[in-house]
Amino acid sequence: MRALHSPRSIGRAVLLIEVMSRLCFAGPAQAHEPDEVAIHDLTLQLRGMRAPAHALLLRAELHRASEQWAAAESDLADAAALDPTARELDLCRAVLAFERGHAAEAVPAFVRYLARAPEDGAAHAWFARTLLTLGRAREAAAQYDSALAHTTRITPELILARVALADSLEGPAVALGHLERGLARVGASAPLELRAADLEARLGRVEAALDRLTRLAREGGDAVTLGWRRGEVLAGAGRALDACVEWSEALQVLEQRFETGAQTGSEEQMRARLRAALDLHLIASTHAIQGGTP
Amino acid sequence: MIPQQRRTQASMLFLLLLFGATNGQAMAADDIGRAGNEALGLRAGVLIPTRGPYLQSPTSTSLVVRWRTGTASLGRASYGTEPGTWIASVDEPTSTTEHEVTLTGLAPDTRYYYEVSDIGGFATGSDSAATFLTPPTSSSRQATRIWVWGDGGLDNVNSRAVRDAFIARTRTQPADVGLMLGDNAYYSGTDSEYQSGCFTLLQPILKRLPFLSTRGNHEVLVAGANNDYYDFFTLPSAGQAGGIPSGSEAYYSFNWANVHFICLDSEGSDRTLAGPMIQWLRMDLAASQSDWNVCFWHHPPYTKGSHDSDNITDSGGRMRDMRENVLPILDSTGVDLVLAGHSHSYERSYLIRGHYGLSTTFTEAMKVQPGDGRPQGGGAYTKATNGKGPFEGSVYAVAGSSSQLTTLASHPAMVSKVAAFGSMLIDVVGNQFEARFLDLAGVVRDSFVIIKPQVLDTPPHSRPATLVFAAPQPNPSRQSSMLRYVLPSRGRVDLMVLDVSGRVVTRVVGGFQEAGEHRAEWRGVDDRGRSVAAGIYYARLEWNAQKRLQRLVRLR
Repeated sequence: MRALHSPRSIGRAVLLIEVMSRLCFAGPAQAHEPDEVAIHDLTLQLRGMRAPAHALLLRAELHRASEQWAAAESDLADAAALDPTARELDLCRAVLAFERGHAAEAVPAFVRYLARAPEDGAAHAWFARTLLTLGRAREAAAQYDSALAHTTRITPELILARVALADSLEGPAVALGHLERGLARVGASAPLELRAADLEARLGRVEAALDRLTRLAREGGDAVTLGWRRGEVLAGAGRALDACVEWSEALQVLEQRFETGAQTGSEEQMRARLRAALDLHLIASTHAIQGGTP
Repeated sequence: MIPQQRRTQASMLFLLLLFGATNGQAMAADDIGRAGNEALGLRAGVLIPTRGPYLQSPTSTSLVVRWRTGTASLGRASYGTEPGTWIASVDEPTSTTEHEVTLTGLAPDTRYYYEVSDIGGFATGSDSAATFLTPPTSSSRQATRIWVWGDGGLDNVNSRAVRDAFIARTRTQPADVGLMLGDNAYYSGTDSEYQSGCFTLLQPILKRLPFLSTRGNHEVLVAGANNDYYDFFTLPSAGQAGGIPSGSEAYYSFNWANVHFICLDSEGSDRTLAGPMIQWLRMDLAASQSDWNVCFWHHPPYTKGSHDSDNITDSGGRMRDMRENVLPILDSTGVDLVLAGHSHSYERSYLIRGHYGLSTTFTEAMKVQPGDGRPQGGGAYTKATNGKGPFEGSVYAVAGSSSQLTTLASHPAMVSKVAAFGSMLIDVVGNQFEARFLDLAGVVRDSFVIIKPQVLDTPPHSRPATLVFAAPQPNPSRQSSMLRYVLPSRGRVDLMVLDVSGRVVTRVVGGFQEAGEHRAEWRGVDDRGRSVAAGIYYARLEWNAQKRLQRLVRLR
């Protein structure tokens, strides 16, 4: 029997009941959390089942989502007693342990589950987060690699997690390699390009970093944010006056926006940062004709 | 409070457990098991798609056509500007049951007709209802009609009535583009549920109306191909339809004429300020040059319907996250309308700003305009800025009753609440934006209008409030460069030219000047009148302690 079919139909029944009960106009607004409703309904369903291992697994998940740890553990134990071979049992145990802060306990359960389901990309990503919590960064990196290898639906978030790990373990060059591969898979992505520009700059590849930021600006990216970032890259490379040109232009754009009469706190902060950067770097970089301050 | 990341993970595992990897295939078998040859997609030598055709990722010059057949075949999409007269066709390179063809080289704002077929010879035949309109270019102010379908994923008597009311209402003026607010197929977004609750239910519409969707909490993600939300839709993640590339089909943007649409993912993506989605949102909104900006996602920031936005644990805190993290950005950039579903009712706010807390913190001062927005009632909402007007207010609508309904309580930000099945119809005509909630009988149960100033060729500011230092002209130069700047008020001005080391080459202007535009010429000489060497120089302007810098390139 495929382990997952039964919970699916139960889950659908649960949700059906939830919706049906709402259609009865039981009352205004929200009386219960959706999880609570689902747990209640599933509990009613369980009474009529003969071997409800999968329903118990499902209820354990609902309890876990509601942070009802003891109830989740109890359901997992009951499910294990009924069907100790259920593949998802270990995944449920692992995630429950991780979520309640017992990451070390989660590890063997993840190992057992992934031995039986090595192509479950999402589980690899979970395991990676667990290992990271335990400070086992290199193993986490390997799990992220497996997650990326087995995930067809790659996201910027998953790539950035792997890149951050690569950056801390192996430095920006390796991290940039991961980022480039990720970009090749997802296509254009502004958040990934921004991170790539940061890494290029740290590698001393100033023009490459500027090119990425310029490209984003050409595609319509925010001139103020990108101007600030370009200035940072240039200042970091010791090109203070070029940085000031960027900040000056960004400041001009920002202040022209203010002419509409409204600005946000973050825009005010950005203006203060731009002005401070300009003051600092321009004063430090400008020399009088014959010494002294002009 | 439950951390957002953990809740996201929690739902992930829950969903994996519920639906498993083989589910899609099993359900697909259910789908096609309906009757004999028709299940195979064949009837009397004619190809019958078992799903679709439906239209995705519309741009001014391209469109994706998708359909499914019961047996694998080499697909072809043919199209032209007259029904049955095809000017071009696109063939698939490999045989498949999941067909996806991109039509390119289309003309903006043009009606096309199309058919899908099998290269082997079967064809759907000419169908004048299989048609689409390409989006006008984003500089166009062509009228746009938008349909909004929320939480519509049950094929029942009510959803059919809502669908039919929309069809009847738009018979003479069809909609141009559709938005799905998530929960498009109950209860888990499986393949078979999508087949019945979305593709079959809406097929008369989907074959002629490009649809873009956001993911709801009932869109379960499962392993494998062709069996969940992201498999069913082709969404413009690369900025191909306008906007900044997100790299994710979970959040993306697109333009239709002078309307910029932003889809966010309140269900599965990182909703923190430092996360990629919000980082992308900031850039995308900043880049928008459209007259109108519309955001949509599933979990409403304000609702007292089947969900309660004041309950911070409801829906894993997603409503709170979107309200606290996203709304300040939308306020500060000037989004006009935010659409959400999730609660199975209709709620619509005043034109408001600055409300990021619980409903108890809502004050009258947050109403930018306290009326109902109806021209025949309290008057249309008016905004001062064409395009993005920061803090000019937004309207928030919850429209999640296309197939399910619950009663609802009152949220103080909402001026309208309707417990009725329905969908929304939005008309954007130039500087006027009109939204209506149509119930299942086609009756308009709520409406509002936002009006912006007529677009005029406004003269440039003669005296801006801020210091402006224009780019030198010409630049690079061999002779002289003109340095132009505008002072907001009288003040001391220092305009100097620096070399690359920051050394002052010469002072071009020094002393007090009046407000207004000023020009100063630098002839490429130092303070002693000697020609400077070729290279890079900087023009440094200082006025009332404010500084600006421009780069100059001097040629030999």
